[in-house]
Amino acid sequence: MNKPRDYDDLARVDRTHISLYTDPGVFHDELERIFYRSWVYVAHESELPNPGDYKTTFIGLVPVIVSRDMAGKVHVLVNRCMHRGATVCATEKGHVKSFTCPYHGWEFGLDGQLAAVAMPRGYNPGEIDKDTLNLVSAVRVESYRGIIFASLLAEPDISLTDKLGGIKEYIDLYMDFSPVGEILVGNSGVSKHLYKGNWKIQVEGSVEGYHAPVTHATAFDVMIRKMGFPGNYQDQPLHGIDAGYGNNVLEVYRLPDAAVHKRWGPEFIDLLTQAHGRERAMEVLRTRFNMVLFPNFAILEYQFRVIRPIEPELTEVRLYHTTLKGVPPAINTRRVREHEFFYGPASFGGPDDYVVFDRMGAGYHARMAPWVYLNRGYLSETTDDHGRRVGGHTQETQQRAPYYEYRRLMSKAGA
Amino acid sequence: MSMDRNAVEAFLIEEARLIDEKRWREWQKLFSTDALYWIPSNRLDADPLQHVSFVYDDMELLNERLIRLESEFCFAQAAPSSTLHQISNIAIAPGEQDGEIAVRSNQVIYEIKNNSQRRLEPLNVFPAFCEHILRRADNGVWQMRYKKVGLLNCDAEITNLTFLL
Repeated sequence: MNKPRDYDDLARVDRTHISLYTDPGVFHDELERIFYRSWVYVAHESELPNPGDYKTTFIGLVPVIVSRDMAGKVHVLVNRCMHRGATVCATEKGHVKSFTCPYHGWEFGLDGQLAAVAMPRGYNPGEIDKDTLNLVSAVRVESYRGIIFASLLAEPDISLTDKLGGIKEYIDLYMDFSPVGEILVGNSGVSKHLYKGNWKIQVEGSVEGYHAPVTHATAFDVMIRKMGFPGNYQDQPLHGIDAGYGNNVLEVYRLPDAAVHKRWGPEFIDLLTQAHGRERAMEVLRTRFNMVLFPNFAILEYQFRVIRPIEPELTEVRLYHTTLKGVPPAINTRRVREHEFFYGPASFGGPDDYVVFDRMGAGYHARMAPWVYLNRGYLSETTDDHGRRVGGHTQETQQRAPYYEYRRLMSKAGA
Repeated sequence: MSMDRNAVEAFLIEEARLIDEKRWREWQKLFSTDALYWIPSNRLDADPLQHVSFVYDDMELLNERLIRLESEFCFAQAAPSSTLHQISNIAIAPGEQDGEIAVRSNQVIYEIKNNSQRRLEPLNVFPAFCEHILRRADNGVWQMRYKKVGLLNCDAEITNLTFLL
């Protein structure tokens, strides 16, 4: 029998081992210990605004339905008929009264309750116990500012409040870009990417401050010449932050007030000021940041990014574009155009990242070079007033952050 | 003089040939200065002002796209794509409106990245409903005022669309 893997040794503070990105056994452990037993992102409330609305997604490999029942309650249901195992819903999103399996007509409510089966007289008394045949529900479902998280198989060992404690101020800044504090997710576009590499490559890559001027040289060229982006990226007073429980933040830019006025104009600034007060409005508009909510979710600029592990070396990433409620259409048009420029498969930025991720996937088969270094800025890391680890934005504090939680979840369960 | 069917076909064939032969700057000249080059994503009927597109280029942004492709730093094009456009089902809207001709065609764009170390690169296929609006410039030359490439798989997984369609 294999001895258990020592995840403290494989995921060190300043480096990770390539087997974490290639080994099917590691992948299996990650699904069981992280994806199925801790808080993972499943949906945003705006994707299912009305009773009867649903979307389908995945928690790890498990197909799930996120539904809103007639009382308005959100459920996360395993999309697997309890009879013979077909998914009971085949579409990405929609509106239904119930979910009916196409094989034998087993019908489940929006809350997962088994309502009926076809030709029930064929069952003898005692052969079918409806109370035990409801769709499997996630053990916990909770949301913060419309962002819905679930824990599939077990009560998480931390509350969602604890999980988000170090990062919720950034979520609040993101949502307060809208005067009513609400966004729409995915209505304005979803781009769907695959790369031949492990899911953690995208976790690290969503808050990558170091690569930006290299990988994105062509995008930076346009941003500096045409979009008022500062030419001295490395000298910007920006940070990478370990926000706890694997979550982390990369500050992307911070505009001086004069630049905020030039960029957003008096009309929009006044609109936000009326809603949130002057200082809050300005703070929302000054700061831009990427953040990762470990393990499968990131928020960047104008997108929700959802990371789906499919195989140890195959990952799907979806970028759900976000728009603001309560703003003039032109503001959302700008969010559309700016997102298009940098993200999506034909853009000036994102495709270069996915090519690099593919190349990392290939490189991780070189077993004679087993370490992936994440030590940039390790020796100069400090802590802020909230006790969060902080480094420079081109250093790697934010990418080391997920592995503290990784070790905690992987080692604890393996013990 | 308007454009007859032969002339329209010849225009579309030449336009595709310039892309397939990577004569991008000659291709660029086929567009009028006020043109739009549009590749919608998710839905072909989405409002491009409120919905993300793959490409929504005015001629300034298209020029930047070509600068990117010509540079050595467009890593998504290492190895570079080669394409082949197959054009069929050409339909010309009856009559000329304000000196413009609207043309629909079906195009199948094949794409492959040759010279890739990884090898086993797939041959990608992008079937598309294309729309061109052609307009005669002052010097009598026909130009594209609008080119829309409506991909059949616009809602599917597409990771790299950094070549020209």
